[in-house]
Amino acid sequence: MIAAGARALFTLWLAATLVFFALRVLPGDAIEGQLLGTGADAEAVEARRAALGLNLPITTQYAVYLGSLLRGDLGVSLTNGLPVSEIIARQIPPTLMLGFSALMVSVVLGLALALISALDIPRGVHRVVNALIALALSVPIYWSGMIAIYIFAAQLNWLPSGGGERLSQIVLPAMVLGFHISGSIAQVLETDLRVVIRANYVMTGRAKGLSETTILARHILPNAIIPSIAVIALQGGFLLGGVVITESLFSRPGLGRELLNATLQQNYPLVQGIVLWMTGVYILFNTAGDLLSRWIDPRLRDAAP
Amino acid sequence: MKSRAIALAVVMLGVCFAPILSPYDPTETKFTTLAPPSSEHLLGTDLLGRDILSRALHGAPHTLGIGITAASAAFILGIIGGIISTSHSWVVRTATEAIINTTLAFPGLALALIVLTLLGGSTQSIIVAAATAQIAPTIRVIRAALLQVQTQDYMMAAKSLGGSRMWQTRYYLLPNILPTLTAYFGVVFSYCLLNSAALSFLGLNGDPSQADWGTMLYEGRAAFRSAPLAAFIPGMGITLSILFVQWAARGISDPRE
Repeated sequence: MIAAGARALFTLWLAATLVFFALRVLPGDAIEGQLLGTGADAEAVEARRAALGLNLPITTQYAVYLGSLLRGDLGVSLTNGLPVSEIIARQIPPTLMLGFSALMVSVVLGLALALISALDIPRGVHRVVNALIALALSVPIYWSGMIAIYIFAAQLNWLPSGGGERLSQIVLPAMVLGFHISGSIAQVLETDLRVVIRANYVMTGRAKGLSETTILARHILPNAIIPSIAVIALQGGFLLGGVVITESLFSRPGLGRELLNATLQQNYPLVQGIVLWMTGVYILFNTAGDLLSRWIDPRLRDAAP
Repeated sequence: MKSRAIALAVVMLGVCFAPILSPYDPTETKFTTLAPPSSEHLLGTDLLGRDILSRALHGAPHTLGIGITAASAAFILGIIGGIISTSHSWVVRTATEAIINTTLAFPGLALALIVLTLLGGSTQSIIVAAATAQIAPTIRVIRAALLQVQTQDYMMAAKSLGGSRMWQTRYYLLPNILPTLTAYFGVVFSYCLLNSAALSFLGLNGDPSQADWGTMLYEGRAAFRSAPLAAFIPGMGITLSILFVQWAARGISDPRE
């Protein structure tokens, strides 16, 4: 547990360092790009840089950056001067709401698709389910999302196509995103289910007269689900960090859309802050998924961390 | 195996010459806006009165070209990185591993957006951004393939023959990871195509007049309810390209198919 936490912190520190150096050392200059468009001269660019502390030696900048990160200070937005942490905090609720709903949809749908596909069922149903999994895996979300808007919002008029104030507005994006993610969960779970179903202990269970439900719940699922937990944790980490395309497509507020706007405006402190938040969420979820797998499967506890 | 390679070559050639079939100039705006499909405009016209079919045909080589360029760049850097990451030096190995694992903790699109923050939106930046997002995953896959091959007996034999590391890599390592490379190139291409189109779709392609599938999706959004074809057609093109390339790559890398 402590080792997992230490590793997570180490990765977070490395991520913060990578983002810092990527945004300052690599070629390309956001300040110049941002100011030259407005017709500012070289002097103004220099002054702006000095005001932001960007003319200091890179090592000093790095020390200052790490120090403020530890205090939870992510700098200020270049466009409106608001603290980045405040902007992020404001966008967290809508992001988490969409992320959790989409994760729920994807887990339920992924589990259902995998179970139907792996268990004994008529051939026709089997084909349809496999096609659905393939579709979820390969169709880009900006395309499936637009088709969903066209069918359910424009033609049938069942659901609103976007916005973030009312509860009904989350249904369509959560369904589209959930379906998209369910493909990878179903794909992994189905493969493992097929292996576990043929295991000897499943036959033993049947031989001693256990009901099919008990065999599925007590013997098949706990053994087959471990790799899927890693996939769910990975997808959850991405979903709750903020989803750029879905939020933009459905005009929802959230960190993904904020990140897109920050990129369009080359507002690098905000980009840096949001990317760090996304990475933190991702690392948190993966560590949690790891610990959960160990709790479900005692065999993993003794394995090297 | 051969049939899929030929199919791939034919389709690639077809994509290169697709603009010839285009009935109109893809930037011509003189037609009625948002016209439904007719005999003059088989797929109708878009918000600015441009012929959707012509734009789709001109967009094919542009969009797929971005995907191929980005995928090739990511792949070459991935192979180099993969070879470095299996170096004999413990320090080099550990450092590359730490950097790769950290990079993998960034969502792919976030990495691409960092690049675009620095470079500003344009077709070139989108290529660099899409490629950057795929380097670390490629290194990881190639590293795993290299490590697997390195434990084989023939590698031991090559080593005991006294060949240099370059010679071993050229004649023993690379030929044996080639099937993995081919199959994975299909995957990298799919992601590069998906992500570069996504970036254009998000409005990060500097030039909106460009006939490009991602840009068409971006513009098609505005009038999607009244003229769905403007966005439907390029989206379908991207999806079909991805399915086709993965089918071809699977067949070429696996002789049994």
